[in-house]
Amino acid sequence: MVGFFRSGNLATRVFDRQFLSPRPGATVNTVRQFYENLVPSYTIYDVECPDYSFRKFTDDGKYLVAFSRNHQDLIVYRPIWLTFSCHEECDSHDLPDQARRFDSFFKQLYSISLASSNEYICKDFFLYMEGHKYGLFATSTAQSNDSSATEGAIHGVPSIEKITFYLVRLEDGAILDEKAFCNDFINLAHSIGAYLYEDLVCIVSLRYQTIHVLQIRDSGNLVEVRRIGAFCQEDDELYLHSHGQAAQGSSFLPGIKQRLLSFIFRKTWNEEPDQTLRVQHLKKKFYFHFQDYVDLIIWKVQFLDRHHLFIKFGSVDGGVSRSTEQNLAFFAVYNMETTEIVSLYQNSSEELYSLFEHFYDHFHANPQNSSHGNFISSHSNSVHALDQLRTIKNKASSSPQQFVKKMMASLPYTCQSQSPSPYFDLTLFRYDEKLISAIDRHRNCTEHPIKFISVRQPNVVKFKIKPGSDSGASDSRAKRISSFLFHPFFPLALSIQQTYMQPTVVNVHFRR
Amino acid sequence: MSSSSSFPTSRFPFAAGGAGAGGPGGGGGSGSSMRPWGSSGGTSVSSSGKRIQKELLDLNASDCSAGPKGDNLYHWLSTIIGPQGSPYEGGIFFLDIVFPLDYPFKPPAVTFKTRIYHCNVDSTGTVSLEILKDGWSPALTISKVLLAIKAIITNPDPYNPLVERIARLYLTDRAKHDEIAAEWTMRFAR
Repeated sequence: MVGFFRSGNLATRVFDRQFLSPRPGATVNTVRQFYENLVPSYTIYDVECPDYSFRKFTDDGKYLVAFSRNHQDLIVYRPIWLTFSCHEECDSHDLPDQARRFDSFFKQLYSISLASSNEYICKDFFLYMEGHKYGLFATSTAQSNDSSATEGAIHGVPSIEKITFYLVRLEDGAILDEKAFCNDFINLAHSIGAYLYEDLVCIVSLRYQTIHVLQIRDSGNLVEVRRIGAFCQEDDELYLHSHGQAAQGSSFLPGIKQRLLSFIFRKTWNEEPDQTLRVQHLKKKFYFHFQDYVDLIIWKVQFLDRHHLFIKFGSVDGGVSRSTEQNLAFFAVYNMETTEIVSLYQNSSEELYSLFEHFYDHFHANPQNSSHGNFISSHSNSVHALDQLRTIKNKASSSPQQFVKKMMASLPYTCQSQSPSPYFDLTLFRYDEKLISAIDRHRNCTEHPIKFISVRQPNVVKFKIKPGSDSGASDSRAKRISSFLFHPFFPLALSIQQTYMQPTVVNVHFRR
Repeated sequence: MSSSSSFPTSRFPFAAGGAGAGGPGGGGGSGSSMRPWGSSGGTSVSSSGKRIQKELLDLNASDCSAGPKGDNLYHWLSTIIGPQGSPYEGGIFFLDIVFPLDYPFKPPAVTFKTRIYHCNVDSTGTVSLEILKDGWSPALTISKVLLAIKAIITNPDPYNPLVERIARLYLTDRAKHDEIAAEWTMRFAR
């Protein structure tokens, strides 16, 4: 694929495309090379725009999602391509003033109120169901640290009075359904506590240690189809009641813990074939740690496919804090249908790391057949990303176990956390991953523009993205944070720079 | 999962021949239910500790294994593998064992941590066994208790039941009873 086009020139490439045919199956990859020629290199600095917090382009490029500053309204835009007309000759001068506005790029579709008085939209949370064009949003009341002991709740996890998930049809802003969780804690930041796979959403209640599996029906209803925690099958509780036994107030192990412990027991049992040594082995490896295993809590969950969940178990103190990579954690593959734990790994497991290195794409399976999503670079589909991983690995060769733990800290995958924009495709462009990457995060800002360098011509800077105002003469001591929203396939991006106590600066980057 | 390096506090506190039953408990990975068995210093505590330790060393490999939870010698766990051919086959049943301070003069308290459909185990996991009540003798050991529990799992005692309903079903419709017990095992004990 690398040597397909003989020239970097756009016109030559168009001619080439007419009489050369790419290798079978490589058409899209070849056509994507045109992105080297079509880059968002033109910047409109500090564009006049409404004071909203812009969240994301949907992965099909149809919508731009924003929230009002008071975190109560949802505003949805349709990205439109800039058109303008002018009296003079157009090529010779800059864009006319009337074109340098936000609404010449985005058309507001609607604004709806999602949150009422004491509730706020969680601005980090948004999941998009591409097939139906539904968006999943969350609102919550303020977090109270009074984690008073309620029955069934675990200690050390804060409580939020009410968290509500809204299913919104993005086409017209109709709220189709909502699902509320009361006095619970769900990690809404960066959508960590929820994972969308096809029409299934799993939501992790940290406080009640329950995985709620909801199905988004075609009708737009959110239906809870499964609840994994105290019980494994949806009718277990009913079954118990029908046999005259109360489910509450007993000291039995929760269903998921029973599965986990029996898996560990069987594994430990099988590790030692000798009968007499086995007793000692179980004492040391199983009973001694029994309480530690019981105390493990579910932190984060993702779908691997429609039946398998990938669950991270850790200790309670690591659940809410940020730097969790050094803590002990376990990863389990759980089959929801058979209610079995299929495999279990520790976060220092070499075996899990090798699965991570070779089959990473299976950890963030993108079943929605979004043609852009398939091009998100990872070390198992791009040699360039693999090179980067190997470099880090070699640097960390002195402490391989720390390295493995650090890598495993990124599992389970955070749903829809990467932009499918071609400008992050590592087969096309190189860029400083500290300053910008496909992963949607706020970043510290430098004074210098961020360079996107061609992979094929290592000395050619294809375009630069500079967040913040044009002059750059502002107080350089103030800490600046920037975030970037790239359209999934247009040469169009927004950079948003926030400086403490100063107005937000939004730049539009596009191909003129 | 390489369990050789699992929990950082991993160590086996009761190496063979160690008679330090009066030593401090140490800060192991055990849970909140640690009992200060070393700190009270009474002779009875120490003698019960020695006795429990001896039983720990004498445990042999039968189908039920047991061991202390963390480094609390008075709080054990045991596992019973559902006997083959019984409706409990395929289940792994965890049992909580708490030794009283005046062990072996008082029986240990044994409760199921895994749900089981059985006429001698109630809905809180309490198991009714004659030798765990009035029939207790200091000559009995924990492995004998576990063997007895294993025996009633295979052969329930419906004439001294804790759950009447299950006992009645066991006596009147054994097939139905076994079917329900197997279903419970699949649902709650795997």
